[in-house]
Amino acid sequence: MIKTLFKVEWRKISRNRVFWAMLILSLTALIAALLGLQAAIVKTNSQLNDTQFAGISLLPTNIFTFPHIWHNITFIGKYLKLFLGVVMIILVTNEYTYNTLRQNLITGLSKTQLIGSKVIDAVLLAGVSTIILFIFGLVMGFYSSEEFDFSDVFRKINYLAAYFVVVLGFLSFAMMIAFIVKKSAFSIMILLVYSYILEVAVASIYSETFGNYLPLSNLNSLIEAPNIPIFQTFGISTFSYGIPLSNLVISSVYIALFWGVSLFIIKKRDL
Amino acid sequence: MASTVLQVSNLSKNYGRLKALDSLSFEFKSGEVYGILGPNGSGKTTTLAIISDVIRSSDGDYRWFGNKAGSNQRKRLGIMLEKPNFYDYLSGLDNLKIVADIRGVKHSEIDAVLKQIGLFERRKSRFKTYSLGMKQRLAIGATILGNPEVLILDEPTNGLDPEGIAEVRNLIIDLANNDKTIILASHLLDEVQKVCTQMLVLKKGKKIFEGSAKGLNTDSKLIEIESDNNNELIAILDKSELYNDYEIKNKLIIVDIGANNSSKDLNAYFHKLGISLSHLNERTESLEENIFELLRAAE
Repeated sequence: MIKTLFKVEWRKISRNRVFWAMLILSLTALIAALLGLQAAIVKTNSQLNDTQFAGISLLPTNIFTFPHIWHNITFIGKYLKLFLGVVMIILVTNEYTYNTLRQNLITGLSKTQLIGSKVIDAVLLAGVSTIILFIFGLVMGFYSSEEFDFSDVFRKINYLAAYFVVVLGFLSFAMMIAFIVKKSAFSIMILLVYSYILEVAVASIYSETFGNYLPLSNLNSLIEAPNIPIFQTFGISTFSYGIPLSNLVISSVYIALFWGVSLFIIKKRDL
Repeated sequence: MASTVLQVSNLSKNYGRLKALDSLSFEFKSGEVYGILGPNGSGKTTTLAIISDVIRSSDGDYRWFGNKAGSNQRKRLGIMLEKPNFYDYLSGLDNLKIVADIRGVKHSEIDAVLKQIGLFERRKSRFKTYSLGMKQRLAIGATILGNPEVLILDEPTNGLDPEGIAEVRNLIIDLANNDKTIILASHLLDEVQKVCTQMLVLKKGKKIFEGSAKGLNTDSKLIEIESDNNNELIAILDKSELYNDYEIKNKLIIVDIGANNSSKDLNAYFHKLGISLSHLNERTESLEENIFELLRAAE
């Protein structure tokens, strides 16, 4: 049945111009942000050399060198997942707009399969985003790394896997909101407010207790900030280079919960 | 022998205080064409939406082919509810491919369906460029794709021009002739009268008639009569064993002679008694009148 759902979803999205436009926009924004950040670092470093900080390394010289590139680009990438969240919301709310959830149900899909088809969309989007980042990382890594051992190329590749989980979790959260709210503009607004204001505020207030276990905070904690020189200079070198297993487990539980709530909503609601 | 395809038991649906369906029970057999009739708000679409699993009932139960409802049962049904719902950026062909994939039907069957519904030439046009009639026909195409055992059609001729209505009607008749079980909800009594063999009449969510369309249509045969002395006629009718079911409307006496008798028999009856009728006319009691009569009686 997964093959059928995949075929159906692919037929739907392959001809959906809005989907492709949004996907290209979000991936372009991601790559532009990474290239722009590197350009900004180069410029800032050169400006710093002209000041009293000359000789003190505050920023990395190049974020695209192996093996750190995987950590750097996924850390930046996780902040740009909002665009993909909007794409996910549009994919779900379109089904309400066209009333095709109802049509596909009466054609023979079960409600679980309806949710399954959207989970496939989320996996595809997260997968495509991860693959694009992987290709970008390889290209930029080989281009930017002057001296490296071949084992360095994939040494921190686990951050890509963490990025996939972070994006999948965020898209699953966006999917759940879209199933609850049904309207795209309202869903996007809720996603924005919750992700960038509400949870950030609550997480910072209660960071000592449950703040870090909130869904998006927990997802984001899978890719902590890289240990760039500026942190070390100011003694904030507290970040581990690993992906915390406990957070990975909690994130997986959250993802399952988002899917479960979506299913519960659709099962309890008339279509 | 016809088997039961749908069994509905005590189905109820409440929207807050409003009872859209009230303990509705009925049974549909295979190979019949069922017409679900009733005024707006009678519960026709609600009934079809519940048995299509699109909305949940507040109470009661229904079974398709003797089994609890589910996606496996729905794949044996072709369902068209209210307006056509398709992806407007996809072509008619791509929309039908989605339906075929979900039902597990080969794509090679799609062309035949597109030809049957008259959309083959426009199959690659986007759905949003279709006229309402074309959209309606595509919905019928999606319904019949894969040759399902039962068709559920809710107002299938909505938005169609007279020619389109005739085409859809003929299509339904063709399907019915192939022993397909069809459940048709419509407010167009003429449409129902022409294709349905069985009727279910609803009012305010309750069943007020279930049975043969013939039963609703032709059990009575009404004859208008008049003579120079209507009092004499009335006295005779009162004593008659055959023709004592009558009423007087606008000086005309309307006698129900039953489906198997003819106006000639009635004329001969009075002639034998030496009475010449000055007016004798057979009234065609339309389905519409019968339905209105049923609805009035259910007040």
